[in-house]
Amino acid sequence: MVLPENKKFSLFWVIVDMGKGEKVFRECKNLGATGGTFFLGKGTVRSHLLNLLGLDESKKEILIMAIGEELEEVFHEELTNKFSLDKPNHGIAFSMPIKRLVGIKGSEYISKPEKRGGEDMGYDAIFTIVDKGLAEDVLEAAKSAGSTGGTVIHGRGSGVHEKAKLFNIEIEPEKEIVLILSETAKTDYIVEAIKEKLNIDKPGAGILFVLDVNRTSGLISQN
Amino acid sequence: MNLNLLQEKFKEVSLSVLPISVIVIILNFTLVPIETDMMVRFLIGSLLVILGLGIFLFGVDIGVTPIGNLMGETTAKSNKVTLVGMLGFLLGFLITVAEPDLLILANQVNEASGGIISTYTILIAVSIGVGIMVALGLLRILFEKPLNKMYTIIYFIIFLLGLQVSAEFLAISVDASGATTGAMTTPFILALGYGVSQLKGGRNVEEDSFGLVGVASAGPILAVMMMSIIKGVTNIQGQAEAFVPHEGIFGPYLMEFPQMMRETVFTLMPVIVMFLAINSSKIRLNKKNRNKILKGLVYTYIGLVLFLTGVNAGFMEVGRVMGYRIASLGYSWLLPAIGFLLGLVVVLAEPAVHVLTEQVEEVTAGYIRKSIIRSALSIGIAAAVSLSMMRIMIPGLKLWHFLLPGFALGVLLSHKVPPIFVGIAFDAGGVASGPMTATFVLAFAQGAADAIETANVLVDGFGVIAMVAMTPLVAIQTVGYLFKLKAHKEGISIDGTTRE
Repeated sequence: MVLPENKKFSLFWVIVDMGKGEKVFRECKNLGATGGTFFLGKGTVRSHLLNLLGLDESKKEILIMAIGEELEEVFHEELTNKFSLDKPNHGIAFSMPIKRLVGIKGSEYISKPEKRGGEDMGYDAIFTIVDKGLAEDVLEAAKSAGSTGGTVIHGRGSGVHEKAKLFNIEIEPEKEIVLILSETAKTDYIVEAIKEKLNIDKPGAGILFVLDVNRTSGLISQN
Repeated sequence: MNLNLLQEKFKEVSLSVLPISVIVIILNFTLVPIETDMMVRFLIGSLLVILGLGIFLFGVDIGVTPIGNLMGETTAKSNKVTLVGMLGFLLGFLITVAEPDLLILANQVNEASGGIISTYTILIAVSIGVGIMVALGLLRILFEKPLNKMYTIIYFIIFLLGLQVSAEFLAISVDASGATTGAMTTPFILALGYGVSQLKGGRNVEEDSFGLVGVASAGPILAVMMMSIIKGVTNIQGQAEAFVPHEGIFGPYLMEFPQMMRETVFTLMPVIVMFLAINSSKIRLNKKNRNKILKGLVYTYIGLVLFLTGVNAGFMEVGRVMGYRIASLGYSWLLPAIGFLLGLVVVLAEPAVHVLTEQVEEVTAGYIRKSIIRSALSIGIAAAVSLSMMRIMIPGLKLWHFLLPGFALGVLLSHKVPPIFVGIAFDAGGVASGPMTATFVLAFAQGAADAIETANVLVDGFGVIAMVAMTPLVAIQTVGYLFKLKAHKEGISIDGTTRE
């Protein structure tokens, strides 16, 4: 089966507090998602009191799903309604264009590389992958350039410039993946700030990439 | 302002402590009326336990667990077998020797052995036992040896030693394992193993994140059994002290509070010292992260003091009195039934249970939900308490009648279920036998033994914790088996069961 030329897909992300993920996923399935993948992360907390107390992290569940582009709007609206994403600290959702997709309904899909989303476009997703322990520096740098928070995902991996051995077995060192959503206008500043603080452009210091975002829900502008 | 985080945590903690409070209140108004003073004290205790548990868990999250992880990573990074062994031993030894529960147990054993085994000897022997086992457990992760084989060997040795010791010392040795894996030790050892396995990575990372507590808690069993054989002590002597309930509401609190404040300093001391020592020589965290961890330790301290004060001053005597009065009512079915009910809820208020189940969720990315592990633990502990009550009531029923088949089944299942459940199950054994069970359930059992003529408070008191440490092996691995069956039905094979 070949999908119609104009059928487009989006990668839909939902980030909610630990424990809520399953409910969100069930709702998404009702709305037409064919599948999804969960992983865990840590979100930043914006509260002076809690920061002072040292309780500045909260566990998050991150859900990603590939859905048809036509579902995107429904997803954003229904999830915002059902889980009050528009209120602070109720979670966020955002969607990205998918360039190529294999594995849904057995068909392959390659989109024409064009930007979509029109007026809703106003955000970018900045991914920074650094050594474990450095996520905080990334978040701090981003904050200094106007970001409002981020999500940290635990991972492991290595670049060509690093080698780690444990008992003579080569291991992949632990990494932290920092996901920051930024207003397009601020993206450059944030990227610069992170680059400067962590020397990302030096070999072995990590990588940073920015992806397009079609639409977001639940991001509350600081001003 | 976002106080969600605090609200959520305290809601969760309240929901884990309230069931036990509600059951006690219902029993108070129906079967066994309890003196008003004691009841008020119990209610204050419940409040302190909720507050303390909540604060403690925050503290563990940002203090104890990061330290354990860092220690594990630093130890493994040393890259030398001897160094990992030595550091593992040192960490295990230090954290155990400072455990107040172990001191209490050591005193009891000293009395029970008629002074032949000194308190000091037991303290050192058990700590060495834990140290050796922690070292072996860490090396197991690094050399990728299967956990179930290790448990099989350990429990086979325990079985052989068990044939040589008297029934009483069998009970004491397994109890000792429960006593050493206290509120503080368990989260630390959990984090230690987690740190090493996370650093190492590889395909076994999920299953290797668990199991170290299970390995460590075999240390005391081996140590006490060997002591009993070497010193040739077979019989338990002496009588338990007569039980006199306290008067008044605040008196016991004023007595317990300063004592807990002092004891908890000792409990936390090794962790603080090790952290500061390693931080200044090896890790060198930045100031912000270091201060956060120190804040975490302050919470851990405050939380633990409140929790232990609440349990000791509020829960213990109510448990004792209820056990006595329910046993005196004369319905033979009632004691096991109420024991079952209490076991069902008491384990939920156990601090380390929260830490373990959170880690399970984290490691499996939510695949194994904490509610599943907690339910399995509830049923396991309910069975343990219920069976303990029967053992107290029926003179012919001995502890080993339960322990032998229980541990045998636990070891057998470890070869049949997905490896991650093996680690969780053996860890859960140490986790379930924490301060809440050790005081409330033990007091309940002693109260019951006091009321039953054929039972002996001292002798029958030993062994209750042993049951609580055993049943999770079976309960959680059964859940693992069900997971495997379900996955099999859906055509997915969970890795590992055929792996060598």
